[in-house]
Amino acid sequence: MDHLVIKNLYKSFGKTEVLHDINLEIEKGLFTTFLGPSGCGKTTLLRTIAGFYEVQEGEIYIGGNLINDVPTHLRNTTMVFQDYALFPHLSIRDNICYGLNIKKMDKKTINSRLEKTVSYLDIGNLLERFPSQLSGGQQQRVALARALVMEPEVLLLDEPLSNLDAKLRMNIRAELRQLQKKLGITTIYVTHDQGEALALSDRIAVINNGKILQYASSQDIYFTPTDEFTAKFIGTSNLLEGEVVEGGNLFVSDFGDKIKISGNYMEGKGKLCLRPEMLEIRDNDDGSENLFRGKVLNYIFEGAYIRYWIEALGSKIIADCYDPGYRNILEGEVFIYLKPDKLHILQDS
Amino acid sequence: MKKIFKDPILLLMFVIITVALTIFVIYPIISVFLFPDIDDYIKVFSDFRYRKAAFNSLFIMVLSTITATVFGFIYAYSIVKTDIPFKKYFKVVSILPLFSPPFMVAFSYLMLFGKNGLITYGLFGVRASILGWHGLWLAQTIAFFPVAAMSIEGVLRSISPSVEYAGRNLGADGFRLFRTITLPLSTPGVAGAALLVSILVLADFGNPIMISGDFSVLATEAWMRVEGWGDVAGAAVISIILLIPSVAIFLFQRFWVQRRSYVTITGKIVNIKQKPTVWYARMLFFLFCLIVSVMIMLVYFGILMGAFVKGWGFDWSLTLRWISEVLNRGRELVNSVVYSVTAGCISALFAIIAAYLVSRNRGLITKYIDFTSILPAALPGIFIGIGYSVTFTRGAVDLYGTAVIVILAMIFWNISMGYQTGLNSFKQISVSLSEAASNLGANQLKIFWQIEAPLVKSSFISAFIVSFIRSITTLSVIVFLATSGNKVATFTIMNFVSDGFFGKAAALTTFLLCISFLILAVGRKIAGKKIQIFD
Amino acid sequence: MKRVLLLLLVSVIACSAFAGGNKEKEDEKVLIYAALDEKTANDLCRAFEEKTGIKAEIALQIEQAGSITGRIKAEAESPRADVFIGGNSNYHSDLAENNFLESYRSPVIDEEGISQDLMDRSNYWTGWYLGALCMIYNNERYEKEIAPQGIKAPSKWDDLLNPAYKGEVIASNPATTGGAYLMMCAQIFRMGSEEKGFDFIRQLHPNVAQYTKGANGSIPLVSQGEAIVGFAWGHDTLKQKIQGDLPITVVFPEDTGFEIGAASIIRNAPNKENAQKFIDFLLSKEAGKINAANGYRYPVRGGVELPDGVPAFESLKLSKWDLDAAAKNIDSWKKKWAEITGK
Repeated sequence: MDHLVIKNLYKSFGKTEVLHDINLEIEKGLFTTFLGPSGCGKTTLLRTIAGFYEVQEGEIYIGGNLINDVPTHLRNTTMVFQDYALFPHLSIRDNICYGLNIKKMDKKTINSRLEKTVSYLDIGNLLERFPSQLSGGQQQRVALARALVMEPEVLLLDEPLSNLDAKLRMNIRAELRQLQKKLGITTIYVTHDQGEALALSDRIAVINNGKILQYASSQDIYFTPTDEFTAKFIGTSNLLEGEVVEGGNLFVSDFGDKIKISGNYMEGKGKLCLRPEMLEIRDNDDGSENLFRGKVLNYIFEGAYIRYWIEALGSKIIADCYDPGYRNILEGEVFIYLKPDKLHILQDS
Repeated sequence: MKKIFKDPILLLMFVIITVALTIFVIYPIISVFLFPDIDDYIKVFSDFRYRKAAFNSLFIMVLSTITATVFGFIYAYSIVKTDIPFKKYFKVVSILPLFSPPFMVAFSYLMLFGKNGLITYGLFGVRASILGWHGLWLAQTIAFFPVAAMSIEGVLRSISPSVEYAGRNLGADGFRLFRTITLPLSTPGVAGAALLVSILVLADFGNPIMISGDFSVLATEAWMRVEGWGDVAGAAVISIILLIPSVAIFLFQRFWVQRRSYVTITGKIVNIKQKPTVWYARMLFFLFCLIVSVMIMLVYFGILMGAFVKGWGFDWSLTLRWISEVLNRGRELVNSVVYSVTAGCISALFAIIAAYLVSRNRGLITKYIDFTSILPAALPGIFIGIGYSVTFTRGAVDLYGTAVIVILAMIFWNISMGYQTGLNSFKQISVSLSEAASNLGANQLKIFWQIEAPLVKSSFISAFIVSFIRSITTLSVIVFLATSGNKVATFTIMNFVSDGFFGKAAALTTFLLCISFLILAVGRKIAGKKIQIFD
Repeated sequence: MKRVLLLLLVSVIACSAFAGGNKEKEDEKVLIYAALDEKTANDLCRAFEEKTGIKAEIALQIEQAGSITGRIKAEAESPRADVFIGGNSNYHSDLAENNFLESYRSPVIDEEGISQDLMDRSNYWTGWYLGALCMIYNNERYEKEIAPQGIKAPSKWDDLLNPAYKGEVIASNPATTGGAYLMMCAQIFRMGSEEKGFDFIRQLHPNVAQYTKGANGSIPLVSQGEAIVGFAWGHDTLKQKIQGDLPITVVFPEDTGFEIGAASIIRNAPNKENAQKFIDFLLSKEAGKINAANGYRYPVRGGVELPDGVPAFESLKLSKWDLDAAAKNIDSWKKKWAEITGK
């Protein structure tokens, strides 16, 4: 049974339409990410679920109940804000217990919930302090604790890691994933960082211009994007325009190169999507299929891999060569090999 | 707006504020216009006396505004941009008049500089009359320049010294720098301050009633219509003549000058030391501040002397008689304190709630609340007084002679200052805080009370203090509402002065001042940190 | 914050207590609007209660009579008071003309033989005290500046025309207050004609330093030495001089003007009979004594002891007075005055 269901949701601010026909069914306990560039409508969608914006058209259900007209403070959809929104005049303890106190829970329940949450997040030593005395990472944990302690039906996270430095972000990312799995809370996460999205999510909804372009698992989104925007926005993609022919077994690029593909695609115009790490770079022509000549234009050494820009197949192709070791860096003429079963075609409909 | 109807408490707050502002701000204004009949309008408009009073009002407004603004500018410039000694002292002295009844300056100067004045005659043997437009001009300049100084000080502080260093770097110095950089940058702010002062001067009642002699201005003429001939309708017409330029100046200030302000675009406050001023300029600035601050201190000196001198002008022996007589009739003082504290609290609370609603919502009703909350700042005190006296003293709601009518008038006359303070601080509080609270289950009332209110506590206190001080020192608002039962100290002081009981008047003023300063000190203590007052 | 709430609550309750007070029902009472000083008003009520057993309550006391007439007009439909005491007869005439008063002629007038000249012709108001116009001068400034010129202390109105007083006379402005209008009338009636009266005003004008807004504005100004001479109501001046030790001399000149302090019953008064008894009481010896002792005003009836320092009523030489002319010509005389003085 789907826990959070959104049907035909539309939203505009004045004359600008920000959400267009949004349909989503989110399973209970899953970690779902709304991914998209800034201004795409992902935060609006999140805030509509939280109840900060009213539903203009469409329906939102949680656990089967229509919540369109339930005011924010009566929905149990707690949110972690981008700037954390900790109450500066309340201690950490009072911040975390704020929602429980409002619900007038008895002291015992409050304390046991507090202890549990605090132990998950390891912030027991901060309870008597005030927000201004905390570091960014600590504030982030407190904001998370304040939301989790409510045991929400849906946990909403609005780019919660964007204010942290890179290293901290990596750590918290892993912790967050672990904690979410452990607690099994249905979680919606909003970010414009595709790496974060891939790392955390069970499901990703890619949003652009107020529309959901693709809603699928991380792997599906990465390996088999359904449109050019998703392909380009997530990871790096080399796109070649051309046409699928011969019953779906061959892709002929606009420059006339013939590339063998898996056969799962329909005939017709389309784009070949090549992830940089899927290309194999060879230094000589051994006569295999799908091997194309190219010329190294530029490269950078990234540690785990070397990224090459290679002029081949009529365009500039990015290729990553992993585990380079102390191998020589390739220069001049090279050959790239495309493995047919790893090739994905974005088909024009 | 639809959201409002889903939250009954938010809806309730909207309803209460909107209804209250309509009844207590808009309705009295309309009543004043409707109260006189056509004959009353014709009578006043055709009377040469009132045309002359209108001309006098504008004449003294221009004079006093110019001098108060110029004084304010030089004073503020000395404090902000020069390195004269005793800056702290000058600053404190210039704030004092803001916490004192406005008529105090005129009253004190009358005793010091009149024909029999302690200074003019007593010290120099000069018998010069201070009564008339020149005395009024002096009194208003001293009474209102602190308002200009305070507002201009803010403007000058916002001009970063680094901009001036840039000017020097490009070859300007001294007066040239002032003329090409500092002055143009502060012009909109100074214009704003001047307009603010002009509204105060125009509405000033206390100074002219004490010192203007037979130079008549509109504010006092309106009062004399009632006091001298029992003609409330005529007073209403005169107050309308006074209202029109006031509101016009106010709107001009708000919608034109404020938009041209450079102040808002300042970024970080850079802490660069001012370049030392050349010695002769420093001397001049110092002398100016010294003279002005002495003029202010003289006001207090005069009042204090008056409270202890047996017969001002003819018997200089000291006596405690006035003090004890005033203590024996402490009712006016008690009224003053009770009314002003009550009005201060409610006005601040009301203003903060209105500011909260306006800063957190949008729509037509919000705009209405915004407008009606700000409007009272443009209303002369006598207009409010007449408005309340024609609106709430007849028919079904008859509050004549009650404490309630005085308190209500004080509440709504003072709401604008608290409202603006509140609005500024709500704008500084991130919206996500209230969203977070709402998200955690708090309704609008809880959000306001538990999250927003504690964060605006200091603005609440400053709103309270401003409103309290304006209430306890006002004369113009209450002259039309006072009776034996609800009269306050300022009203009695006015009657004492007009009956020639200067000793009693001075003693009562002294008490009033002590109470004002006491409550101010307590307020600062509660606020805990530095709070912004009168900004 | 809770404390603030509590404070608010307390103050709101306190306010409503102020507002709601004094509403108990009593059959035997009379409600008074008094344009007198607080003490006189209170003393009069206490004495009335003692004499008649009827409770006299001051519903409103404020020295500005104009405020009270405004009040009576505002609540004409359901009057809150029975009697309006104090204020000169002009205020009462104004109310009578606009039909806000009940007529009543006290039997005491005839019993005591009080002059009919001091009563309203239609009996809408009853005169119960007199205030005479006086001249005052600043003792020190007169001695130092005027006496050395060989000029005698002012004792007649015409003394004010002496050029020695140029810019040193304080007069009052009839445009702003009814009291000042009566002072102007006094000159007209004294001189016997409108023309001669205005002549005097024209001649006086160069000597006038200021026309004060209030009728008694000269008292503080002359006391302070802002000017040397002025004129004001004698009773107010004596009160302030005696209570405040003012360094001035009070002179009642020949042919001086006077005002009649009046009392009237408000139309549809809830306690009309008691109101009539109160009017009778105002004409009694007791009331006259209280009024004279507190306010230095002359009772209209004889046989009342006056406080020290107040010249006997018989020593005053009052000018003729024409109430009708004074009432009829308000607008034209004020206008004429304004033309002469330019004020």
